[in-house]
Amino acid sequence: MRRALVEAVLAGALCGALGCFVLVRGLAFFGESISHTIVLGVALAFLAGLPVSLGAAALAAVTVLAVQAIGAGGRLSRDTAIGILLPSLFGAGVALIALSEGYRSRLEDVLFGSILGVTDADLILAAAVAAAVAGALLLAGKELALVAFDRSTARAMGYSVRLLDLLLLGLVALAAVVALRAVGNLLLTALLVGPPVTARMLCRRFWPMVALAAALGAGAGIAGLYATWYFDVGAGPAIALAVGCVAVAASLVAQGRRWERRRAATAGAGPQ
Amino acid sequence: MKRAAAGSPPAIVALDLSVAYEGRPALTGVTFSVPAGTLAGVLGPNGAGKTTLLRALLGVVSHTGSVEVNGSTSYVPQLSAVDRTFPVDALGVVLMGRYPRLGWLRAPRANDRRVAAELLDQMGLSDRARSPFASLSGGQRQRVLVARALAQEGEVMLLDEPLTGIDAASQEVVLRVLADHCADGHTVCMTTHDLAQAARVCDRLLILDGRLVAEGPTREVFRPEIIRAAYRAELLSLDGETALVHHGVHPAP
Repeated sequence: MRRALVEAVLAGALCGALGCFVLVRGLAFFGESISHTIVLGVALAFLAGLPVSLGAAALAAVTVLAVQAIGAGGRLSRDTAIGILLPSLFGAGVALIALSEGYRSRLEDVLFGSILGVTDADLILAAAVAAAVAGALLLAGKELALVAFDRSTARAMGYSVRLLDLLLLGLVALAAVVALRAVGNLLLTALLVGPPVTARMLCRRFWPMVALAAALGAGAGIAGLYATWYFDVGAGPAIALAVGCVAVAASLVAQGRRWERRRAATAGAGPQ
Repeated sequence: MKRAAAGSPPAIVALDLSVAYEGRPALTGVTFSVPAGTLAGVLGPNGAGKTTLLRALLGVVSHTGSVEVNGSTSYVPQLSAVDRTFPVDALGVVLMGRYPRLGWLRAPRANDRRVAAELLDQMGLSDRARSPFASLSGGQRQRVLVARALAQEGEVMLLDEPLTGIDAASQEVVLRVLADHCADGHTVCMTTHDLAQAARVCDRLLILDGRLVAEGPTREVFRPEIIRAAYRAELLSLDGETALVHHGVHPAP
């Protein structure tokens, strides 16, 4: 349980922080896509007797490079590139899983995660990815934010926006590999989009939003694990449900603030 | 106030500049120069190559011929090129102009914040420093973007339609600040569809229509026959120094 808690906190914080970039860049479809395409890597790694995370990371890299290459061509948008890759790679992954008799029973782990079975190797991977993401955001976080806000000026300032795009997609792919263990590929989007959307409702500036989203992601991981313990439900779905509950609560708080502001404005205007 | 010293090299020199997108020419054989300390206006109908010219000056589009910009550049994009929903306040946007001099790893420091606050004050927005960018009016957002370009402290400022879609008061603030910037020896080159304002404030004009129609001091270039030759059907009326044209929004570089 202790290992699961550490994994849940790391995966939640990683996805929460990077999800903010995903949100402001409109890359939610990419996040959804990468969670599906890495299923092929998982299947290949299982068949080859290699660590599942290694296969997932390899397919994540293939997806990132392919999306970037197709998108950079200019003829197809990035979403179109993803629309081509997602069904092809996910379909191949599911087909391979179906062919491998021994693995079929673990399909549920891929789809919904298996956080209660994390190993020391999984934790080392999660910690390494967390360190890499923290380092990358320290190094180029403000430049990544600039590209999201104003791509043309970032380019005019001399930044290689394609390189920064590649960095961001790569970081999201790494986070997806970690989160696959925690919540599975079907629910990964919940961690990648839920905490950032919640934080956006409560924050007016980007970096506080990133910090809050990381905290919310980690908190959802802990809450989901406790729900698993007490109510005997799957960890992945419980974490996703916790994300949803926090988002609903935040939207109510945000709505309350709006009503409060409107009431204050009306009172300030005075009787007509 | 000081102008660039007489005899100093031009801030911008283009020789036989041509740009094509996927084989389709956008700008052909353009040759001009802009002296340092000049406020230059780039005019022309939609599709004339105004934004393409800025892209070439910024070095973000491949071209033939040569372009030389003496000094570092700063850039103000069209308002539509900026994500107005991004969670950032006015001060945060201006601080972005400090990023190139900060380099990787380093966050803005107290001195950067002081510079940004002073620039917002110069643009008449000191009371909106902590307001979300999304909550500002179009004119206020444009003023913030000009403040961000000033924060870069470049020698040559390039602006893509800074007067389009903003209120008259904001136009006046932007034009006053740009004139002061030039008076300090900097060079400004802006595209615009506002012929009357361009004729009023610009020292020089470049008139494009896929090629260079005319270039030179405003009083020599802003002539009815030249404007008509460039704008043709897009010109709605031309009366002395007042002219109206259809205008649209181009994709950002």
